[in-house]
Amino acid sequence: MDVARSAPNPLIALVGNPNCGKTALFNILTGSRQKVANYAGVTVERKEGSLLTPSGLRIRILDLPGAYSLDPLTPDEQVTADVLLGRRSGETAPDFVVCVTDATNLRQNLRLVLSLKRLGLPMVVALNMTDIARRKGIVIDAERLAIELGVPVVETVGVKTAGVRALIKVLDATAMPERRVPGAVWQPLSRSDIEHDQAEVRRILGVVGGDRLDGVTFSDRLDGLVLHPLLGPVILAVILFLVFQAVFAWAQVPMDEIKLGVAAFGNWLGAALPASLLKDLAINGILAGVGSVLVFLPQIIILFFFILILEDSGYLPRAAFLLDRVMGSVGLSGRAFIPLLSSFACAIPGIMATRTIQNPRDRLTTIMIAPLMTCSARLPVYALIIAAFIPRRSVWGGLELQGVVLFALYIAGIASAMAVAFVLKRRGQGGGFQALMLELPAYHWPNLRNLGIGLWQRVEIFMSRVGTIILALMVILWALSSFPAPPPGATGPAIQYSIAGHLGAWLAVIFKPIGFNWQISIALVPGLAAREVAVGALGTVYALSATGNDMSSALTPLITQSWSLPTALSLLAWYVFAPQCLSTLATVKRETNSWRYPIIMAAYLFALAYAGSWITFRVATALAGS
Amino acid sequence: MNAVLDNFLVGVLLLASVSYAVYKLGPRTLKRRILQTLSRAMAPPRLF
Repeated sequence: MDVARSAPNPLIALVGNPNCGKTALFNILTGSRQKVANYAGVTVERKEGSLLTPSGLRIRILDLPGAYSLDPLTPDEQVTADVLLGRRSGETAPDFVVCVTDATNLRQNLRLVLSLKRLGLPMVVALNMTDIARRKGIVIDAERLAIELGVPVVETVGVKTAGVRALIKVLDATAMPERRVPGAVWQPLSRSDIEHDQAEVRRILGVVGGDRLDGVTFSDRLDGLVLHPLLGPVILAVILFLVFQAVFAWAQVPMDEIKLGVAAFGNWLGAALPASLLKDLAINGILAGVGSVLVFLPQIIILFFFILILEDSGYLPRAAFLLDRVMGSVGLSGRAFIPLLSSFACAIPGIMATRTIQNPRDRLTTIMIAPLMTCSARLPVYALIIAAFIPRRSVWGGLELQGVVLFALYIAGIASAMAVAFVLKRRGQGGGFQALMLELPAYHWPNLRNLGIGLWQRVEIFMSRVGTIILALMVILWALSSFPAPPPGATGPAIQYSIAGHLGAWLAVIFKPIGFNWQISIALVPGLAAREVAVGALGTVYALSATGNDMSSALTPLITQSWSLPTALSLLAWYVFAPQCLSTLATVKRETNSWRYPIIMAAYLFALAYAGSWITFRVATALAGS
Repeated sequence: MNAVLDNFLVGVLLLASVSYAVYKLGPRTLKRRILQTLSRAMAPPRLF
């Protein structure tokens, strides 16, 4: 089989089971020299980095998605198998494979090693997590393992450099471009192949050790508490609650600093530029819009700081296990948890991740409710309204009220998703039960380096959105809000006479029953591109609505003055259900191969959002009046 | 600032923003068409 080979710099693929410490090893090998993207057509993350060896060889390193087998069952395994076999378009086949194995679970990991050996690619085995294995009383004879496997074996500890230096030495010696071999060929494993591999794994383990366990481990003892049927969900709720408390409590100071910085830059710009159209665009269009979104960066960093810690420590799969029962009670497959969890970052990867759900009806139900999970783009909207209308004070013995409200909004999203799933499943015939199978990795301390790299990637994603699509939409919105110019003798703010002003007045008729004014109505339109754009749009619209010298005022005090509490609560309710951004609807169309489902999704979310906001507005107005 | 220069700079920024937004949010077929048109426009003239 002919496959495209890589460029002169050799390409090394890191392959391994999920949770074997592969990404930690990748981070330490490549440092910050990484490029993160998606594989074409799927949302499986592609990470490539580079390494300069002591001999001066520049090696490209590809961190492949975790896989248990080369006979793929999931999109992740499909990508790994395709890349190794040179079948993935746009990807060069690797020249060399580093198979990362978890020394604490060699029985399972060796099966993949034996499969990779069948490919015939040059390979080295990185025997990872040897420190944890030793603590568990598992001692593996690495030299003997190398003899049995017929490939070099290097002991590594993913978060420390000592073993990594030995690995680099092996790569330096063996991964030279001239050592390339013809492309790999894979034949699906037959029953006898699998039985042979299992026997071989048992034989190797018998020779090298690695099959001894010291009974109950620390992780087992901790799981007794964390996975307890009653205590477990309570612990999960407390952890999530504290995370949302921290999002508000810790972010205040850096947010204030950013606000001050944006205001100071605006003042400087105002003084430096002569009165002109360009100055108006820079201050009331770009700075007011982009600055309003930028200010939420600390909260996003804090939220992902905790998510990454929970992920790195091994707690997230436990959370999936705990929530499986809740999912089952509304007729969802336990497999729906991972896509729904991904939807907290963004609904798009969540919807793509539903490919792991085999039952079509379960998959469709999960796709339809994924947008109800509170994606990170809603955070700026929630944070803006909460900061403006919910007082900063402690309740119930020291809890931050703003954090309590944010937590309640996340819970409202989850509860509504479960309710919609319940209705959808009851309307359909329901699918067969699909058990959730998860590997629960041992608990370990999060690695600071991984945490830093993960956070940096989130910052890059956020900043690139602010600097590209949000910036572009703010410029367009400024133009729509500035032209045509007000007629001679006009007394109101210029925006009222503009295209956006007329559009807002028209939309306000529709949204008036739920308490939205024309400024909010305008902001909802660009908010369809991405939800956080609505905050920037409000910033621009209010900056252009202002008269006199208060144009550069911060958005929070402006909306506090001009919105009533029922309006603010109504907008919060709107964004719990908020009709999806266009990219999500496009993804649903692609995943379901039909326009029917994105249309149904947009319609039902709009109806829910409108109904939710209407009820909230009416109840809040009645309570405020009583 | 010179009014012509002012209008020109704002116009360029607006055009760039609209193009980027259409490219980023528009359907894939539209992106393909835009790229094809641009590549045709930038290709050197054929010599006969």
